[in-house]
Amino acid sequence: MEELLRPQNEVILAMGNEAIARAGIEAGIGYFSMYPGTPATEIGQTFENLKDQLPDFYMEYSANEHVSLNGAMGASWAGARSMVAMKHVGMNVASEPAHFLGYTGVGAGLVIVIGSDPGATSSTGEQDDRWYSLHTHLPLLEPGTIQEAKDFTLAAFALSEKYSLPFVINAPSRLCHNIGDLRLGRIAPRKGRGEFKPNYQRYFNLFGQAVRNHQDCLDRVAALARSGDILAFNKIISGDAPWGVVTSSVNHLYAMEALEILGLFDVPVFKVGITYPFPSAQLQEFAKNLKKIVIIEDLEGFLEYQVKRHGFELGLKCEVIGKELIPPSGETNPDMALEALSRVSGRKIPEHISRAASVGDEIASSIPQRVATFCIGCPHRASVYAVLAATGRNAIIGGDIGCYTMASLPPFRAAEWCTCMNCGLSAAQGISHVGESKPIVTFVGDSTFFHSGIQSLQNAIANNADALLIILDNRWVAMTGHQKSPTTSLGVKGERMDGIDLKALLKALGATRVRMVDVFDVPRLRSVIADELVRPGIRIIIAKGECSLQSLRRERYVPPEYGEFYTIVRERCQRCGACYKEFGCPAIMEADDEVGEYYYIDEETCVRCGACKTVCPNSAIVLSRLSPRKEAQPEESLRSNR
Amino acid sequence: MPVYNALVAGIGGQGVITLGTLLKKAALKAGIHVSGSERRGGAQREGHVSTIIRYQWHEDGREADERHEICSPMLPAGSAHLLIGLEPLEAARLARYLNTASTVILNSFPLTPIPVKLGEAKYPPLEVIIEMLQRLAKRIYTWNLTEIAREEFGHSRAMNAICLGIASRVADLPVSETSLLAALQEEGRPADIECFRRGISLADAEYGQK
Repeated sequence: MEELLRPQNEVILAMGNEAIARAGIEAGIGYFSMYPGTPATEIGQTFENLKDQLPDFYMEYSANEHVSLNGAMGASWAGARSMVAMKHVGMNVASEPAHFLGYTGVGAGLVIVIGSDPGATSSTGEQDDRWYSLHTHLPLLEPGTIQEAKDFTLAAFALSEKYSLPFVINAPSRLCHNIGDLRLGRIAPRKGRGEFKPNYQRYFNLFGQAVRNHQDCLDRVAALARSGDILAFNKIISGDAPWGVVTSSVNHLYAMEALEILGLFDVPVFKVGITYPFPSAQLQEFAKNLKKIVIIEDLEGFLEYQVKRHGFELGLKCEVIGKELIPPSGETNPDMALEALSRVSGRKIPEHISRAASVGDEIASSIPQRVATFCIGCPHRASVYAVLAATGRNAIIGGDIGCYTMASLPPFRAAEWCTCMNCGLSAAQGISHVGESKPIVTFVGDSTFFHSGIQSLQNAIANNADALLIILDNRWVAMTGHQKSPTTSLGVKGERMDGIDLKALLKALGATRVRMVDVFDVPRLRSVIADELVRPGIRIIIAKGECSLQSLRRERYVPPEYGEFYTIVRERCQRCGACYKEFGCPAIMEADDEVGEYYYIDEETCVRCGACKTVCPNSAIVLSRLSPRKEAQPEESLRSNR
Repeated sequence: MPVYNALVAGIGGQGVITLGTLLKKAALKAGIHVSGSERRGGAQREGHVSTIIRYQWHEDGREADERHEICSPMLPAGSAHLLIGLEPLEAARLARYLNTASTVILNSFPLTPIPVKLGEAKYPPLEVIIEMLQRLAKRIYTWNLTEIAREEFGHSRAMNAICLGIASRVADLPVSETSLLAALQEEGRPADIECFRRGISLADAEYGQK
């Protein structure tokens, strides 16, 4: 992380997200904010780690993306170059300020970084945020390489000031998480204190003034579109073939490699780095002699739309094909680019590639799936298990966004829906109002609750909805790598923080039934859930248990030899599967020896949360002070875990 | 522009990302380009994790031109020179990237996925997994690295540095042993260097010096 402060011209190893953060540092930003979200999270982590070394710099993890973007808007008006990062769906939450920012314009440069997630590998959706620019009118840059991630972002600050428009950087997860060499640029001197310069005509949007600002926004975008400033983001690679490729972002790299593999060295390529406003003049120059344009891009064909629209206005006669070749859903990859360009050119994909793809996919589909689950010692495992035990699955269970989303996966399969932040209780109250007879239980994590759940809960209480809300208070924004949550009260270095008193807040919202339970005492949690399940109205259980990864970090220096060990007493174990299958903790393993198969707790990975001990119906799991490793254990049993 | 593509596969918590980063740091030491994305996202464990390492360098002082600069985060099928599998099933999941010239370093110690625990699927025997990989790759080197790491170094994650040592012998990496060691040394854990040397001795003992 320290390498990100190295001087100009040094080459360091950096992740796409870190390159974007470095661009902020080179631009001399004074303000950064985000609500953590994969794949953009590491931008915030970088600033968090470096903030003390950056003079006149402020950063925060905001309550949500709406607040985050509004905050950056204010900082920009006060003269500080500002950056906001979010995941693609965060733009839905931030879309309100985003739609005003074109009207108001910026003070100092403002850059909005969106980490998009084609393939939805860490999201509940894969929406194509590029379409937002058609109605927010915010200029849109699509870098492809790590170097471009830095260079485009840096350039965006100056242009943002020149045209008084925030610039959007759209980085797909494959760029955010690409790690490679990055050449550093000069770090600009940082501005001192901010100073808000009133600009009533711009910042106060009402009646006729809003209409004038709307027009002015459109005029500034048009000026940018006509200018030479957009040319440098794009690249035309010339060639004599009668057809060409138009591409953007990481797809440019897939297309170039595919052309090389197919030996198509004469195909011209237009790599578009700014897709709104669209570089129409360059398209004209590129396409003037072409009969066909092939578009290689992720998701829903935004680039294709721009090419077709501007091609129509330019009177281009060539055929344009895109989404017929590459599907509008799922993540694009080099093989898809290869397949598409092979179909267009008639060139055959080399045998070693096509064979590897077909044999490899056959193998992958024949082996067991590896589904993610809660970490060893995760408090959510205990909560979800307790809910299933208390309800006997005779309840409707709402999911939400966070680590506990995995409650829907085996072995639990315990959540019925998951869409956006706070969909759990919000949808649950609707279900309860139309006469559903089954009890409704719904999960929410502490950070998700503070993101936008307070309003949902206040609404549910005010309208007498019927649901049992379980707030899984693990004290951190765990899923994205442990950013501080509003309830965090003890840091990993033991530092005290002023966490919000959740119980007091819930009472203030009008909640009448609020109970707090230690999740690692599973039988007690189960009985509290069973008790609350049958009551009317909104009931809340705060299932309290710190994320074990964080509590472990705090206790890292305690040598495990002197700690506590949980072991399964073989003579007592009935192999009922309560711990191994239903509770499903990965630290509980299976082995066999001459006596037969047995379960054991893996000393190396067990984090000693103790939840399994409370789950075992046969009292076979015991706490001891002696490492089981020191006792004689059959050699073979360690070797095979099956 | 010549390229060399490596992959590391395993499950969350095994150290896949760390091993990938070490292989990339070695590229900086060797003064060549490197890129490649990883599958991360969330702190959840037990899921598939993999990372791609693409080395690129200039031949005979030739500068890159626009057509040949790759620095791509992804790999086409059949184009991995090296696959390091920290878990057998997860190595097989990436078989589509192998070809007859690929080298596979495989840790034979299996970690049971949840569907297998629930009795909904069967974990194939190691011989079957090796046969699967052999349909595409010819050079497959197997050890129970988890056991070696635990017994000799006290922790299964020691296998990452052991793998680096093995790779420096059995694969034709474009980064030298010195560059790998330099990257490892920067991590500041002297035990890692011992693990690396153990990897070299494992490879030499089993398959002879290169």
